[in-house]
Amino acid sequence: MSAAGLWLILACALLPAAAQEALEIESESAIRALEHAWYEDQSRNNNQALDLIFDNELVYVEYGKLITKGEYLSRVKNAEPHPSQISVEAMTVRMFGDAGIVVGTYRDNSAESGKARVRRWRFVDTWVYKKGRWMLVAATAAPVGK
Amino acid sequence: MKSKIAALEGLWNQAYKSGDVKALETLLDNSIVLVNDDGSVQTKLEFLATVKPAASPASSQEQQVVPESMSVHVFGNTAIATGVFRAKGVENGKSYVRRERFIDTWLLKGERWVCVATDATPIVH
Repeated sequence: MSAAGLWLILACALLPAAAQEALEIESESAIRALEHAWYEDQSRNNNQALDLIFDNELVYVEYGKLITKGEYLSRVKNAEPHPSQISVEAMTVRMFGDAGIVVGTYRDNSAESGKARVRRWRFVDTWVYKKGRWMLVAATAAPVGK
Repeated sequence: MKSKIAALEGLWNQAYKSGDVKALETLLDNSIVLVNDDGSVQTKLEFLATVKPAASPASSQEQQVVPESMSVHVFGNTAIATGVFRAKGVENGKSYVRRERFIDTWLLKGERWVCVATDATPIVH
């Protein structure tokens, strides 16, 4: 076999792996963008946008309590619009085919009893690719440090 | 499918209580993200290093983990198990009882389900 033939075989063997890697990079970018869109949409009470990225069976845990998609959207709808108080400090995305796990920390600047308060949270979000788009199927956050 | 995940959750619970590291190695993906109730993160190796046989001297490992409830949602090759457990144990010489909600993400890899993420959050009353 000629050298050109060998190179062709090698290229064909490597193509699927390269294509898979490119797909993972694209998926990771899409999920990162959705994470940021989530915070922005929430701060603007954009329920319609959140409705599109939250799966109907979303499993959302806050302070140990299970909250449904409907309850979450209702809370956003009834809240006052506010500038984004959430600052994402770090975020890593791990891709597992049609699923992506996001782990990170964010800083939440809020006011309680007239006093400014800053809390740090560790979050874990699970995204699944369904019907042509990424959907959030699970989300949870825990305060960092006891 | 849901019953399969529920069974795996039960196996995990049993393996943890009995200190069965080999069983846990099979259930947990090598890239699993383990988030504890204080927000700290552990790798699989770090977590397994903390698992002690049930008969060993007191450590930070829960001595009793009692599941109270669990539900499973399946999304193709991904499953989310969430529920509540009550943990009783002794840590640094002090006994404790905690109720926590967990979320575990399972993934079908080949023919086997493995856990790729787990998070426990204290239930705040």
